[in-house]
Amino acid sequence: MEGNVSEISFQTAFAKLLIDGEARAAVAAGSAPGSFEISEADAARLRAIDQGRMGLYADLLVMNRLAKAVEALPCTTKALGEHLWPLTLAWNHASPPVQARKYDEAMAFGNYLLETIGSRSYEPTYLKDVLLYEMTRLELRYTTVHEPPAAQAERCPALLEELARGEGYTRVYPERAPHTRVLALDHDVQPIMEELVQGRVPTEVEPRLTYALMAVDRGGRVQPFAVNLPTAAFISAATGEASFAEVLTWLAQVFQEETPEQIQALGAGLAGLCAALVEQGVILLSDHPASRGVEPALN
Amino acid sequence: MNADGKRSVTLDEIPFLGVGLGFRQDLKGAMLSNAHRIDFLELVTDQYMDKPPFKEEEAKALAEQFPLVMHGVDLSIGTDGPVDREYVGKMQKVAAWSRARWVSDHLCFTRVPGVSIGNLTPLAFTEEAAAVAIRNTREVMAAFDVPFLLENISYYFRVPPSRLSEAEFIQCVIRESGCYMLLDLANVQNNAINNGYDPFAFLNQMPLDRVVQIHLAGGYYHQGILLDTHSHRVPTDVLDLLAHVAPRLPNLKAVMIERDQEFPPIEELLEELDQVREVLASRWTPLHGRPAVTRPSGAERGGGVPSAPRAPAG
Ligand SMILES: [Fe+2]
Repeated sequence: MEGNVSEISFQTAFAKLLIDGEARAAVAAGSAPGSFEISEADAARLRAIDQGRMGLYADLLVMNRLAKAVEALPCTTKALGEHLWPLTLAWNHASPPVQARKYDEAMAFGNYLLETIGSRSYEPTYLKDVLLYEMTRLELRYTTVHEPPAAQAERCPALLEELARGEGYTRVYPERAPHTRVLALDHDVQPIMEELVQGRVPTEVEPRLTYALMAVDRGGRVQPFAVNLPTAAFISAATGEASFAEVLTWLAQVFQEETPEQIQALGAGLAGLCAALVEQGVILLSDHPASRGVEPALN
Repeated sequence: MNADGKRSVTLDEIPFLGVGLGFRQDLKGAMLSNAHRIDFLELVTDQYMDKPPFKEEEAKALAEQFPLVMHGVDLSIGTDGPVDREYVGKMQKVAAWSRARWVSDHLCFTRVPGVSIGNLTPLAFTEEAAAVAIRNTREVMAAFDVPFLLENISYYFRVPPSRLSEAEFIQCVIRESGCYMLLDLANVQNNAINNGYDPFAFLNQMPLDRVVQIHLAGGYYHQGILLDTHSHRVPTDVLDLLAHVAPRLPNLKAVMIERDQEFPPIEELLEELDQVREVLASRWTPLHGRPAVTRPSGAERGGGVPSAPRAPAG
């Protein structure tokens, strides 16, 4: 359907003014906004709005954006303390809103923080870990599709038996289940987040390298499990693109297991680990990556 | 008939829902364990679009326990341009699996191509802006076989050259489009205070026979402005408006409290619902003779469940 040209041009200028304080000030002062074009008729209409009330409304819009981030990333925003509002204003300026959904806004804020935290050292030092944890939790809650491929699930027991016999290494492809993620963090975030949820910001937290396996259930609840390095490394390598043999070779390099005996022992250990992870629904197995159109390499 | 030639559900077929609450995640457990004291729930449509799996499960579970109505915030009916058919398609899906008795959104705009304002923003009160809203509302209505309602918003300034009064603008859009109205009495009170008019005179100019649902809420003052924050008890002023207008709403089906922040213990909200029932008891025919703390029976709630909405109008 055809729109009224003058009204959509006015609404567009109005919307842009509401999210851009500098443009608002320029138009109020009778200048061009700089960041976009505006007709004199639209500028006159915008100047005739109660500027004080429009400014208040624009502030409310920023607070609305922040409220979405606070709801989705509660511990991160709590830990930011007095940095939160200046960072919100900077984010709002650098990244104007294009999506209203809480998920999109919170992830946009989180990504902005990751960039900002990466370029400066922020206190508290565990901030980045808490942020990564909360962004991962959000992503799991909002994007996970729970239906595992039925054929894959059915094949798992037979393939596990092969691995247990030390066979099928080159044609079994392990893959992390879609409802799980593994994070490597410099701090143990669980006790930190328990404090933050209570409104207390911990200080003096010693770094501690931890690996968190996160899994979301159908109710949207995300459970974290602390795992050891070999488990974290195996799950991370289980992309579905590499065979069990390739994963084994990579992990043998990581753990500097070089002799055939060492590699054989590592393989047996990984087969056992794989069985446990399949049992927990963390890993799925397939015997050929046909769904990706890739032929397995044969030894 | 809607756009697909399917018979639309009429208001007569929709049961009286009673006095309910807007569903909020923070109150989920408390709401479920007090279901017998909450007559229906209103879900925010946008939170269930794109089907985050846990939200879908949640809505299905809620639909088993409560009659549901869906309330959207980002349709942007007043944007001068084509209706966002993808968005309407998502509304339809949510309305279908939640078995929504009706769907609603706001008479405002929230976005233009490339910019999301993220809030309910006032339109100019002009014939031209009304024509846009009427055109878009008709298209949206045709996509549903359940009623579509538009809500009056809170606003803090008038958008020039508003040649119509707010009441004239709302009346014009509701009457000309043929949609129903979700009358937010807190917004009426806020606007009356912030923009200097008499809320009772304003209500007298509303299309009262089109009102199907009422919203109630409480906000607070900031820099001399009464903000629409849904963060406080429903104030007495707003309950007075309810007492004034309820007897004159022949098609009123549901009254509810919106609470989005500063959540009190559930008992306080349930007491507020009872207070609303008391205000309505002597004035609103469906509540005559009802104890203050009942909800419609299962049989009543099961009646009139609409069938799935249809695809968007072509
Ligand atoms: Fe409302």
